[in-house]
Order: sequence, then C-alpha cells, then structure tokens
Amino acid sequence: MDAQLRKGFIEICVLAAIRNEDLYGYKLIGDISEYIEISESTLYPILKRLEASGYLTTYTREYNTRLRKYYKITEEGKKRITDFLSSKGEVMKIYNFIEGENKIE
Amino acid sequence: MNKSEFLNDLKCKLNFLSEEERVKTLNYYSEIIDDRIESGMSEEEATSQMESTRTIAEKLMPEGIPQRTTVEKVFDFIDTLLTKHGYLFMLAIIVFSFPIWSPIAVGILTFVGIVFLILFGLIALGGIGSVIALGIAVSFITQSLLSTFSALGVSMICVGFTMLITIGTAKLINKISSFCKNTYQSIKERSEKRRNSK
Repeated sequence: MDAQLRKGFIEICVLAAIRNEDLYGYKLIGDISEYIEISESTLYPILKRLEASGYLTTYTREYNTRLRKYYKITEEGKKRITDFLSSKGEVMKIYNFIEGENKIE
Repeated sequence: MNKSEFLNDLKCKLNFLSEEERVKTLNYYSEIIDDRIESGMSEEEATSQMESTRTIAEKLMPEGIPQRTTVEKVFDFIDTLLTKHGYLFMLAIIVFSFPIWSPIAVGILTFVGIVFLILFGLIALGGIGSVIALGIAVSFITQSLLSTFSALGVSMICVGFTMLITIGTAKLINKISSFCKNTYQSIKERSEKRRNSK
C-alpha cells in the first residue's frame, strides 16, 4: 500500500483499536498488525501526533514492577472514527472513478 | 545486543531530541522490549528483531529528512566515491594524500593527548595537594587552631577541585567513546549495505 495512505489508515486503526479498551504499545501493535503492516518505529510518531492533536490521552500504570503506558481514546478521537466511516461513500466513489478510468484504455 | 546496550545505542543516536522527548522515546522502546521478553522471546531475540536504532532515529527526525552529521556527510561522500571509482581509486587517494592528512592526524592525536595529560596532571595535583594540606592541618593541630583550619580549608578546596576535574574528564571520555562507537557502527552498516547491494 502507498506509504502516505497507509499512515492515514494506521491513525484510524489505532483509534479503532483503543475504541473500547485502553491498550499499551505492544498489544496495540499486535492487534493492528493483523490487518495492516506496522512497526514500532512507525507507530511511535503516530501515537505522538494523535496525542498532540487531542485524539487520545495517555497514563502509566505499574505492571510487574515496571511501568506500562496506556493509550485512551478521547471524545475527539471517537468523532474522528465516525467521520472516517461516514466518508466511506465518498472514498468508494473515488475508487470507482479510478477503476473506471483505468478500464477505458 | 542486550536491552541496555540497545537502549544506550539508541540514546546516543537520539541526541537531536530534547532530553524530555529522548526519555519518552527510550521508555517506549524499553516497555516494548520488556513486553516482547514477557511474551516468550529471549533478550537477544527481542532486540535483534527490532528495527535498527538508526532507522528508529531517522523516523523521528523532523519531516523525515535525515539530518546528517558532519561525520555522516563525510561517509556519504566516501560512499559515492567508492561506488563511482571503486576501491583501488580510494586506496590511491589515501596513499597519495598521505603528506596532507598525516600531519593533521598527528596534530589531532597530539592535541587530544596533551589535553588528557593536563587533565590527569591536574587530578594528580589536586589529590596530592589535598593530602599535603591535610598533613599540614594535622601537624598544626596542637600549635595553632587558625593554621589547622586554614590548612583544612585548602585541603577541602583541593578535594572539590579534583572531583570537578575528574567528573569533567569522565564525561569527555564518555563523549569520545560514544563518538567512536557510532562511527564504527556506521562504517560497519555501510560496508554491509555495500556488500549486499553487489
């Protein structure tokens, strides 16, 4: 998949993964990588950006004598998912257009 | 590489970040390595299956434009020369430019040597000074309280001075060694890459 497009998808995937449950980094990667290829170093800047934009917040909790950082979705984040899903029709239209133009040749 | 080696290496390569951002990033990777180990990997596996510290650092650079250090720029230049002209040409350059670079190399090495000689000299001087002053303080203890205390003060100052110089020297050695490590790592990665691309 195109790198730019993938980045955009990963952002929404991250938000979707923490939609119903707060997750920590390693679990997040495991959950998302079933659907889209992702590495630790790709995820990190995305998490930072999502936090800076207010789509998620973080908190640390002790686990087995060490600390784990958890990511929690905000209302803004939930809205972002809804907005993304509601643009499905628009996205499909673009796909159909590109497919159609590609066939004519 | 074990976990602490990996994190140390990463820390060196993240020197363009602020202290706060660097700590956050290291915490993130430390947590992931711990989680990988917990899921059944060995420490070595957990770090070796991670992306290279170089890739991690590059992805964190502003706007993804790799910010090259002077050393890396020099290496880039050497890389292009190597791919264009081959090893023999490079060898010839090194041999024929010997009269130019050898005095520079000797100069740099001499300078570093003198700096360390001075630093170690100062440490020794401070150490000896503090012991002598302490000796004087003890010898005056029955005769003059004023002399005892002034000698004791001098001894304290010497100790403080020695500690300061020692800390500075340790930091300098640390900087030089991490520079050497990074350079070595860089050369290794580049030569491997070149071998693979053939």
